[in-house]
Amino acid sequence: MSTVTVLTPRLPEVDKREVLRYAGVRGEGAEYTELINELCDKISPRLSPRACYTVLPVSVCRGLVTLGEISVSSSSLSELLSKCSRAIVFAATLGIEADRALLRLGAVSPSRQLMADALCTERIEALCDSLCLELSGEGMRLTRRYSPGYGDLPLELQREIFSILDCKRKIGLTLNESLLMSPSKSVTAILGVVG
Amino acid sequence: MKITEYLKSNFLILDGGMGTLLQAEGLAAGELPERWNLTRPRTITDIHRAYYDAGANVVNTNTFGASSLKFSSEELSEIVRAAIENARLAAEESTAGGTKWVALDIGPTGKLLKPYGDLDFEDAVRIFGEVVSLGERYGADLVFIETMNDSYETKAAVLAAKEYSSLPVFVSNAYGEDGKLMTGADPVAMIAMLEGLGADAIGVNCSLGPKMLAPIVEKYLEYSSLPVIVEPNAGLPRLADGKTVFDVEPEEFAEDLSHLAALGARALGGCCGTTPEHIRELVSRLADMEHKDIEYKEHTLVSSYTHAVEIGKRPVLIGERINPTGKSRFKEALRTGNINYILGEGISEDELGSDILDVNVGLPEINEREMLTRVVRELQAIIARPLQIDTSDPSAMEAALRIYNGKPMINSVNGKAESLSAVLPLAKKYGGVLVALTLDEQGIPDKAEGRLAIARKILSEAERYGIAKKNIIFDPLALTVSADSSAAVETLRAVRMITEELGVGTSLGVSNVSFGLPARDIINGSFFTLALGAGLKAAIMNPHSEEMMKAYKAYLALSGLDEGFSGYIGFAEEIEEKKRAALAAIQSDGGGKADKADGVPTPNNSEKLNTGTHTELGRAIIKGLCDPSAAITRELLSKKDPLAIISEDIVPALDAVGEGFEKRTVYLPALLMSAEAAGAAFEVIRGAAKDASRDKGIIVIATVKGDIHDIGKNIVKLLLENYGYDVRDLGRDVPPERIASETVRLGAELVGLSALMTTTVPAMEETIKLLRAEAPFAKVMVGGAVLTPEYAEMIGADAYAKDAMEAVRCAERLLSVK
Repeated sequence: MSTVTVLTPRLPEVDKREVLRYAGVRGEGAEYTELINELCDKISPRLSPRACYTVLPVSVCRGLVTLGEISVSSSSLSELLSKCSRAIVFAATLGIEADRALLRLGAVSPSRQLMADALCTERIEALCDSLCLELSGEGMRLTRRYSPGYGDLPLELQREIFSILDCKRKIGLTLNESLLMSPSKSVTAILGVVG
Repeated sequence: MKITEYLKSNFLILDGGMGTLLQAEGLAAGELPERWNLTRPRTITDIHRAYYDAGANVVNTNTFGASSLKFSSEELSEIVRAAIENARLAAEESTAGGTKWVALDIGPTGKLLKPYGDLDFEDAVRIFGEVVSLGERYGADLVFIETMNDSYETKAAVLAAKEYSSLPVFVSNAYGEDGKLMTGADPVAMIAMLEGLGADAIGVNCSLGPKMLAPIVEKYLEYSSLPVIVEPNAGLPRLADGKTVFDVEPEEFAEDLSHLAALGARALGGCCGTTPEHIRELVSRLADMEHKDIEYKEHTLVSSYTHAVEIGKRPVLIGERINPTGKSRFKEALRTGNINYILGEGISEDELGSDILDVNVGLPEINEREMLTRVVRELQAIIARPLQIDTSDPSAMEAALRIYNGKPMINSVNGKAESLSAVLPLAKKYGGVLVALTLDEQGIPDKAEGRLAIARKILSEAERYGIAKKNIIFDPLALTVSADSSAAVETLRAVRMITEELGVGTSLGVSNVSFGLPARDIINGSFFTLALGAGLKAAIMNPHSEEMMKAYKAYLALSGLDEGFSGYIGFAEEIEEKKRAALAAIQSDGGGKADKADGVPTPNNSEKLNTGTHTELGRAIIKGLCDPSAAITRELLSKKDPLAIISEDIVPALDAVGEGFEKRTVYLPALLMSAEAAGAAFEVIRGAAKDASRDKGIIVIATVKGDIHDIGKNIVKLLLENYGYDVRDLGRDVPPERIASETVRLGAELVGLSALMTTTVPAMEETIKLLRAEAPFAKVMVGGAVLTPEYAEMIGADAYAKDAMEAVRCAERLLSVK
């Protein structure tokens, strides 16, 4: 039985340019600095970043990828994992309070909700980056991360990922019937271990 | 012997881990352990027996994940039957001497409840209920709900246990290292809710080892009047050679647990990583220990999904603003289903520091039961303060108490026989702190003595229903002093008498006292101070009232309830700051009428638009300044026709920003800020002139079933409202039937649907089909990340809008082709 490890990676400083990019603003956007700072102060303390992962053996054969007990047909994932004999499958989340904060802003100010949503998107991506950094620090050379829904990798793979990672118990992450994740600011992905 | 009787005078020994032992026996990844009850009954019985032999009084059946979400109803029934048989057989085979019980084990569903997940609360109750009734049918001695990490799901499970069986109910929650459940509740919040729901024993299991769990257990021992359960893991799981191991050995585990037993924990066992050896050590440790008596705790607690508020330590503020009485704008919001307006009131009360929010949405022409549950659901999704359910309709009250995520205040019961018999059973079943009005069939007694007598009667009636004194707060009723000059004095006497003679807390709707008088705030503030001095424990009040807040903050500071005066000093600074700001505004007005729209730094990239041609209000809107836009509109209204303000000031500014957005010189956040500023101006106009409506037609808008994204929908709604449409927002995850029926009811000629996932577009298609059949007069526009014009056409929409401005253009096009 594969083991699932739980981590609470540290979040780096907020990259405001990324936040602006997610909010659809091109250019400097200096006039939004104050708003972003204010939202950071409000939302950052409410985030509880958590992640869990497992390492699985990989084999690739004619577009069919086998990851431990999971088999999935995907040429884009096959290509990504072509030089890998193992892969990391992980899930990461900012926790339910991010959803609460966003829903609350939506009741009073869509512009703030939009900016806060962009901020949370930046935060979950940053969480994934720092998780990957931590994992590659363990002497593993990793491919880029690849999520269900990318390319021809089916979204339905989410069900298998949730089952092997036991996401609800490990990090409080659940999957809805429509394959949405709750809390919503969450990512699942596959990373090839090169070599 | 009944287990609840046994617990009163003994330690109760529980079993240890099951999952870790099953894995050691070869349970494969992805295999459902509950099936082993049928396929490997001997293995399961042997594990149970090892625990009984080690001295456990209770074993939990191997049914942790058994529910209709994973098994067909036939298989589920077989699994529960076999699981109980396996445990029963183990008890018979065991040679150990103690009394033995079999507990039906219930774990989480693995789903998150709505609104953040997709499991409906009542569905959760049914799912748990099915397992509970099987458990009772096949002979379990008690229901053991465990490892729950969400307060709402815990409530669903406890309600199910109570409604589907008459078995004792034990409830244990799994806390994280931060001392909270995964969805935010702290121990005191859980204790309040679970005592209210009538659990028989409560406590903690899993997640942490015994040392890290100790502070949480201590909270339970401080606040719980029920026996406390403790089942830690054998430490934190750790990887060694690719295997999960737990580090706490039986001796250390038993040693740590014996300390918690000495502090008062009554039911002890283990969770992940613990073995029969751990339990054996524990039994021998506890063998010659005296158990500590379980003390009744007097704390009066209400709770939300995060925390409890204690009434009595310091007086608490209950915000009164969520109430339509005397507020035409609020009534309109209720009639049109404008939930955001109501939420906005709640959010501002929260920000102003109300401890609890009163929720009253009663209007003769609306379905109060439906509206109250909807508002409670929406409020508890975004506001962490406990709520006070305020209604005179028992059916609305029950529905709201049922879906409330915590232990609410209940407003209210009174001394009339009809009220007592309707409300007391609800308070008993769902738990809550009951506000009891001292009036009866004869009305409100003039004298305090009469009100005290009614209070006594209510108290003894409540006791008959098993409602504890600590869960009642009396409201001796603040009456209008201008109608009877002794009214205030009698109310204050009643507060004092109830406090001193009955030992029960009081609450008042303070501002009633000043009806009919000028400058009511002054009277209210002073009356509040007097009432606090008389022992008042809670006040239903307007947190926006500065006089009331002054009275409150000063009282706390003067009566030693504000340590270091930090609350008072912070409040005083805010007041000073407000004064300075007001003064500055007056000075700038006097100094040649500085332009409100220009003196401020721009949060908006409006320099790209030519603001010079716009009026002052227009410039404020373009710059996205909400407060100045409202202030300028207020001034303009004294000299200009409302419709002219709209057409000459607001609309040109909106058009300029909208065109800028379409030409990509203005970005989305700036567009929205302008839209919000325009919204602030419209709100002022609407308040001043009801006939200034620009009714361009009703548009129903919703995110489709299965999808909970709402940002795009909110943006579209805001812009459509700006352009004069009456937008009815049905929310997120809305079933096709509801969209169709509302469209028909409102006669809406346009419906806007949003979906963000490929998996929810089919729900959009289904909605459109239903609309075609039931509301053929309605046009449909769609939008959302995964949609394209071709896709929109394929699913039968009339139009596709790629962004919010295009949605406005679509609406203009579709609604004018009549």
